[in-house]
Amino acid sequence: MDVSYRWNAIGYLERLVGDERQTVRAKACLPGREDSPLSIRDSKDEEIELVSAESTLDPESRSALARDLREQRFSIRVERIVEIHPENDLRIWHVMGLEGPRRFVTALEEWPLPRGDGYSLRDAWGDLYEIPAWDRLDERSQKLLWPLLG
Amino acid sequence: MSTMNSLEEFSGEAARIPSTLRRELEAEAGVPLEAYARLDLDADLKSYDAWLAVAGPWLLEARPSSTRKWPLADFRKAEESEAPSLVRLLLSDAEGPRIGFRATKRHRGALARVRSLIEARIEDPRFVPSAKMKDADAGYREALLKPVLEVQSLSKGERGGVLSRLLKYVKPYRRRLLLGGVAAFGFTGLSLLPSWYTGVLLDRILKPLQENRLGIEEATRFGAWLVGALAATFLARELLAWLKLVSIAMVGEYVVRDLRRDVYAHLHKLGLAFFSKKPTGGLVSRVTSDTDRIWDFIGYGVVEVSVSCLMLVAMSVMLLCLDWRLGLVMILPVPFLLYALFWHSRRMERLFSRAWRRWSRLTALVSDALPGIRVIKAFNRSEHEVARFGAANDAAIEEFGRIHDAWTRFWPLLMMSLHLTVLAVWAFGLPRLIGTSPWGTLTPGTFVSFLMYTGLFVQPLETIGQISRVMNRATSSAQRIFEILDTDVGSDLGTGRRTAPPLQGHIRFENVSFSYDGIRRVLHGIDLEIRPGELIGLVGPSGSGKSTLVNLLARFYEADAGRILVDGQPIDELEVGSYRTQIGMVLQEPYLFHGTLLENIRYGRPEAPLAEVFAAAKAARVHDFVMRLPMGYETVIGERGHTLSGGERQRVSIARAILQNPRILILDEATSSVDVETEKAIQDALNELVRGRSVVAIAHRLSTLDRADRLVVLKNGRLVEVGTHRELLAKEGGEFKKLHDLQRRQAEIVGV
Repeated sequence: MDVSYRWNAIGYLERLVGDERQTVRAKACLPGREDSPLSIRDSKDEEIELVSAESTLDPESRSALARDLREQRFSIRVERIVEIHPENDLRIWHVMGLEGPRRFVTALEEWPLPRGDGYSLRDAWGDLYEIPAWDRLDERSQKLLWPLLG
Repeated sequence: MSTMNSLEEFSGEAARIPSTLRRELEAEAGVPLEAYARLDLDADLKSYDAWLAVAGPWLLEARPSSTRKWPLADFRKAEESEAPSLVRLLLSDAEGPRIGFRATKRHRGALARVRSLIEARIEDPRFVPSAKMKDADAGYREALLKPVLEVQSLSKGERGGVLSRLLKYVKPYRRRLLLGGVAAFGFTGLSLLPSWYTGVLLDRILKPLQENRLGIEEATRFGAWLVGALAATFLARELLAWLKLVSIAMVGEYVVRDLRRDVYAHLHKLGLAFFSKKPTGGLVSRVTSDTDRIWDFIGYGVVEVSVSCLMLVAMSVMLLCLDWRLGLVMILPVPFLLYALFWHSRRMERLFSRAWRRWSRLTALVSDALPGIRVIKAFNRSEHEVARFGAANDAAIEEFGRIHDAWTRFWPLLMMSLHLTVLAVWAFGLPRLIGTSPWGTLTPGTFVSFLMYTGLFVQPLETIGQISRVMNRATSSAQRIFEILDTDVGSDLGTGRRTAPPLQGHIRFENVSFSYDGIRRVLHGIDLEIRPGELIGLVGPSGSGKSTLVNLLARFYEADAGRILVDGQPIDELEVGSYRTQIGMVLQEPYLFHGTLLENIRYGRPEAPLAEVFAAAKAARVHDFVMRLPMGYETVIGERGHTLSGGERQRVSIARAILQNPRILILDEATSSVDVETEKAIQDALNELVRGRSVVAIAHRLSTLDRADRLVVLKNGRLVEVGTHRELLAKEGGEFKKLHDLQRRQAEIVGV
């Protein structure tokens, strides 16, 4: 029976097999790669299907999967760093992102890690931040970030 | 600074739902909010500003432009899923998914509270959260702050408060501190004298001698007096230095000792709930390293910095008194030098940060590779690992090189600045010395004294430059320590003060319910009676509430509802210590302390006579293996008893329980992690132990419970079956029968 995927009205991925609909999630096996195989998982986080990159899904299914993957790959984009303030075993960050200013804290042992051209950083709550490549950062951001890039 | 401000400081998030929204939602629901969370992402993952709340039978969402509400009774399921930077809550009704919400991960804790309450209301619409569940505002704040507090214990900005609390610990030693302060003052004053003596030697002896204003005899006498004064100054100065160090450094030691004692004693008063939230490693460092840092502050920070400040002030006064014009030449550059030192220490912090990171990478590499050395060798990857280490080592050295570079550039510059000050003293002082300056004359002695004082400027400046670092470290450590001391003991252990009388072991659970977080119940209305001397087997799948039930009986936690009675007395009215001495526990992972076998067996009754120790050891099948060891009962067993096998450790713990002679015994998976032969030895030991006591035993292997008088089956926190082994096996479709059949099939498969 044909399998297809749709992005439903309440913003969730649905797997359609005949008349049956099931809310699922798509999880990239290799999140860093655009062409990664996808594990389709149910609400108990068990795999229902492994969709390979070469899969012959209809365009609407591909678009629905891509939409769900956007959530899986969602991270907070940082445009510039306004302030990094070390205080009592914490580092308090003030950043400006695409969605406006944001403040977060990291442990002192939490360092920005190289990711693609830029860097990624995880805060105390587990949110992932993407910092642009070094040459795309303004001078102040570079100055603030430099001590943390050893 | 309050928690509210900390939340805003750390996250920029409001400390609670805006009051206008709250009023709107409460008006909509007709009841107060019970739990809420902020939703900061919309379905397109764009920034969003809404609040999701539960109030009575309603789920409500306050959006910037409107408010929506749904009856909780409509929903059948609440599911949470996570992506790297977001959390989603999906609510389904009878027909399937109905509505979804999104937020970044910082709101995960608050959203989980909302979800738990929704789930509890789906299961039981009349569900009332226990008192343990915080009010909506406190719960929201706690959920948001918890991950930060796990990284760091307390919020910033409490330095003043922390220092004043530290001072309370200093108070009992104020006399000693005062003595140290006087010694420091005297030491500083005396340190200035040798340079002044030099000036006196030149101006009052040598110059008058050369000008024949002083005879040789008089000059010799005066000189001898000066040498004596110098010797006395040195002697007195070193005596005062000793007094200063002994007094103030020991105050640091005493304060740290008192803090360590209070923290450790307080830790022992706290309930298990505290320890389940805090990693042991972190607690160890609070008792050890953090208290050390405070010594650093009191012993080094307070003493050295105050002496340095005093030294700079005293020197400035001395110089101005000797010659105010030349004194200003010396003093005016000091603020600039202090700023340079401050700037340098900031730069060094940045460099140390990079070096620290590279050093962490190097140490992580070693601690990752060495435990896996067998794998490395098996896969012939030693060369690769050595190369990886080499690269990390070089990277670390590169950063340390930068640090040395910065030091070696800064110090010559600082010294050059001091030399420039000296040059200025020369340039300004020489014409006056010669008598060609319009600013008056200067004696050679005063001039030389000034030159000598310049040498004394370096050390105090350097010490003051370090104060910020030492103070930051100490206040952060003190905060971590005070967090433990501020943890409420009463909430964990109840308020029972009545000493428990000798117990018979008649236990009754009356409608006992319990939840760890105040919302999600792990035990629901348990009713159970255990007669004195009865052996009860607790059976059920993982997560059914078996361990929670025995933890309540041992009073590691307090029941939310209902009560537990022993011999007719509610256990929460009994003083914990006197009650626990009559409870014995044999756990799956027996914990033995570093010490001799004798000390370990006697742990619960250190005064027990040897005859009783040997009898307990024989009953627990310990005596024979102990006597085969060269040092017998004096054999020192390593940390946590690792020098013994698993079965031996378990039997020692059983001997310990037998010697304690408890009226109530709890066996929590005592034989689950050992092989069949060892299990038999332990079982023999247990048979001795359980005789004549009320016993509650948990075991995964149901076959080990066939001696139980009755079996109690738990499922999802509810008591579902009670009966003898035979009765429960005869019950077709019963939970015990299902578990029993499942285990038998597994055993057959393994046997095949």
